[in-house]
Amino acid sequence: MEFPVDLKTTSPRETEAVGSELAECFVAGDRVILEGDLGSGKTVLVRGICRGLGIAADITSPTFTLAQRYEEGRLPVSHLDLYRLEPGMAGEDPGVLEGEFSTERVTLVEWPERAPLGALQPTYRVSLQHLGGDERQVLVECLS
Amino acid sequence: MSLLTVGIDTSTFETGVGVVLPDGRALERFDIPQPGTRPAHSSATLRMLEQALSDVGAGFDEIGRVAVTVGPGSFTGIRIGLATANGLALAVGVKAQGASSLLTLLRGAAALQQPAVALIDARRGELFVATSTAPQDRFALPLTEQTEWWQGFPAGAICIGDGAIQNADVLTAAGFTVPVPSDSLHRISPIDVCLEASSWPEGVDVAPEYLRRPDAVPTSERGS
Repeated sequence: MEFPVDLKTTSPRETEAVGSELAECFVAGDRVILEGDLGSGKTVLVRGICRGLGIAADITSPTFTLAQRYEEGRLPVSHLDLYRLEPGMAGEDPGVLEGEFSTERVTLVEWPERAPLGALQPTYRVSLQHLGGDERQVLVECLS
Repeated sequence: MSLLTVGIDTSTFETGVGVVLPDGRALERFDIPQPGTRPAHSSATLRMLEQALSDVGAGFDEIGRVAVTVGPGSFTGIRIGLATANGLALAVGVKAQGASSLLTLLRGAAALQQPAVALIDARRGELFVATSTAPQDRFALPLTEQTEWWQGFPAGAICIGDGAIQNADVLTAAGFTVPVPSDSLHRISPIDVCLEASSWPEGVDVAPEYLRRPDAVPTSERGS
């Protein structure tokens, strides 16, 4: 995969396939920020990434759990959704997410601006844009 | 062997743990972050609990009941508290029991001869509120949407909790009593958590009490 990738997908299956292909590039310690409005396909893309890493588990949104871990693939994955937190994780204990940013894992982060200051040094940025219906614009940038 | 009860509170900036012995003796320990620093729920809870157990000459294997505040309060703090309590409870073969942080605060003021209002900082310009006169009606109160947001509080009430400390000037001017910030009435007592949790329905899993509605709205449900 050559970066940046900028393409239009026309179905969740295609969006998922982009995630699977992207996963082949990942190494331990990669941190991927996921940007896009609610319903833009972030969870679908995460499912694709997990499938690409050999993870067969159900992929669910971690909005209320903050983090979901998937351990059985080529690389362990932490999927974070920090929507419920305030910018910089103000007023909360950042220690709760310490393990999720381990250099042994791939960390996928929704709402990255709410991560503890300094904890997140992203290696990829994925931006998803809702184009109506099932169409999505997918932009993947390598930041490292 | 008589078993003891442990109480955990991580619903505010502070971390509190308590141990109640079968003979009624009890102790509690707090981690109180310095101003400008962050809570230490994840690192302090088990460390303090281990120390508290050691202080009463007991070990984790003597725990027979686990009580924990379920919120409302700190989003991550509640998760840390519940996860810790569930882990401990699983290890000792019981189910954790929950207690509302607001009702636990009110319990601390129950002996007073005046109504009480528990106020916990909900951030985002809101307070979590419960009154001793209608404790079943716990709610999130946006301070910005109305100027006299304390209307509806019982007249002459004592206001307690970190939300009361933060708004002490306004509440005092409105005729309410707010103890000095160092007063223990403002603090959720882990011993009171043990007592409050005793009314938790048997066999029911502990789960967070949010009070505030989710603010995420699916794109399809948004107005134009």
